[in-house]
Amino acid sequence: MVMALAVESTTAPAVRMQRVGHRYGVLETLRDVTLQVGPGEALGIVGQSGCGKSTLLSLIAGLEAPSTGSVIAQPAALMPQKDLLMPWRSALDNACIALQNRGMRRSEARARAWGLFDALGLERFARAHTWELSGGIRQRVAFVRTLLAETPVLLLDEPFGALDQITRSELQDWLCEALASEPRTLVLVTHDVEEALVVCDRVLALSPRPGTVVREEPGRLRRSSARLAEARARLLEALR
Amino acid sequence: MRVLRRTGWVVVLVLLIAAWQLFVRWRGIPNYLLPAPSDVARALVDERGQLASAALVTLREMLAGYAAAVAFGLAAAIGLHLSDAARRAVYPLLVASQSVPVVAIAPLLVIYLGFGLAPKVLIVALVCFFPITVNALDGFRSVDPEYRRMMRTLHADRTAIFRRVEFPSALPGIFSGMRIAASYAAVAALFAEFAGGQQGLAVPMRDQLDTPLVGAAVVLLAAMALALFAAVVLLERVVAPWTRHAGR
Repeated sequence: MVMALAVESTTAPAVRMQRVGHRYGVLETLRDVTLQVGPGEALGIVGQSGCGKSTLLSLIAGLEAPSTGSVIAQPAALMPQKDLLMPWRSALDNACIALQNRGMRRSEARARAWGLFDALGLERFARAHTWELSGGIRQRVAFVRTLLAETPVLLLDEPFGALDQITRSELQDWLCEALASEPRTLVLVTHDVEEALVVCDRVLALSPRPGTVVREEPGRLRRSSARLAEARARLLEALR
Repeated sequence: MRVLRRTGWVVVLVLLIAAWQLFVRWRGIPNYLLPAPSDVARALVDERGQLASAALVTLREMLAGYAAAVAFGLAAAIGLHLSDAARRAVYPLLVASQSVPVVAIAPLLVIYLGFGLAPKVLIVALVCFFPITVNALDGFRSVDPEYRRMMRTLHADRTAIFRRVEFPSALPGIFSGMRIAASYAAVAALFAEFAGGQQGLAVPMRDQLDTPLVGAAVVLLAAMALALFAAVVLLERVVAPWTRHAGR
């Protein structure tokens, strides 16, 4: 059962999953997953390919229903792994799309998006065609598009998976800064354990399919720190 | 090199015409069997008045029929895409309709609608709409499903998904169908004139013995088909410029 919370509360969790199981036909993807994400918290979820991480995001977004258990979540916007920028729109117009979907006039939506482009250092790419943008900039535009959905919860599905390591590190820092200026509840799914430990407040490890939570570690760790190395080792051990 | 790539077709055309001219003159083939390109060119000049007025009639039928095909083809594709029930009920019938030979029903359309413009427009539209409908429908349905999933979380309803994702995403397919239809339109208009008409390029073609004149009419018809095709290509570049950057 998936429900969107009608009334936002400062104390109620933004996402709550209780004993959630999920199946695609005979294929069991998730088993007995229980988790909570507080308002403004960033939760990282790591696990091997096919362990149900993306399914978990679909359940939170309300795109799918759990087979067992319950999901209660505030409205959430999804940023998929592929940036899915639309080549028939400029970078700015891509970012505007959620505002236009809500009925806002294009000029007004552009003005709103321009403010974020300016604040997040993307103003010189606003009028660019999508095919003129590098992979890193495309992901930034895709993130701004997700932010402009103006939902309390953001769901990021391996957003930097296709990028090289240097761009990836830059984007992780950029994401932390963006979230500091535009605070939201975040659920970040990634293969990269270090990325989750740097960007998120808390990191959960999902076992191989059917995915279930096997370990939790605190996050917001500094790159190259001993604490990060230890947490990373523990999570990788749990994922084996 | 780039100029050669772009104008290569002109070189091939000139070589073909030259070979044709030499072949006819060298073998002494009589005019009534195969006119030389120079005879066709002479007929184009000598009969320019008659050919121009006939070509204008055919062009009008072709463009009106083509426009009707685009409008109906797109409307049908949108309707079939947005309604599963309509697609299940109507799509097989549309496919089956293509096995009905237009040659068999064209005289009936002339009887129903008279000898004016209407039956010709209808025949051109019947011949041309199907590739537009099929390509558009394929285009709508082949959108990456991830777009739909993402758009649902970005407050999009069914209309917004269609308008902002599916339709623009299908434009390359739509234009592909329009290009195929453009290549049919001229012949379909001519066929409609043969089925019942006293005007258009079919008239000079009826005199099978005046082969240079028939050749001149064919040249005009081919030029009209080519022009319509080029116009569609140009329109695609204006409306969907990103298709040239696909894969970047």
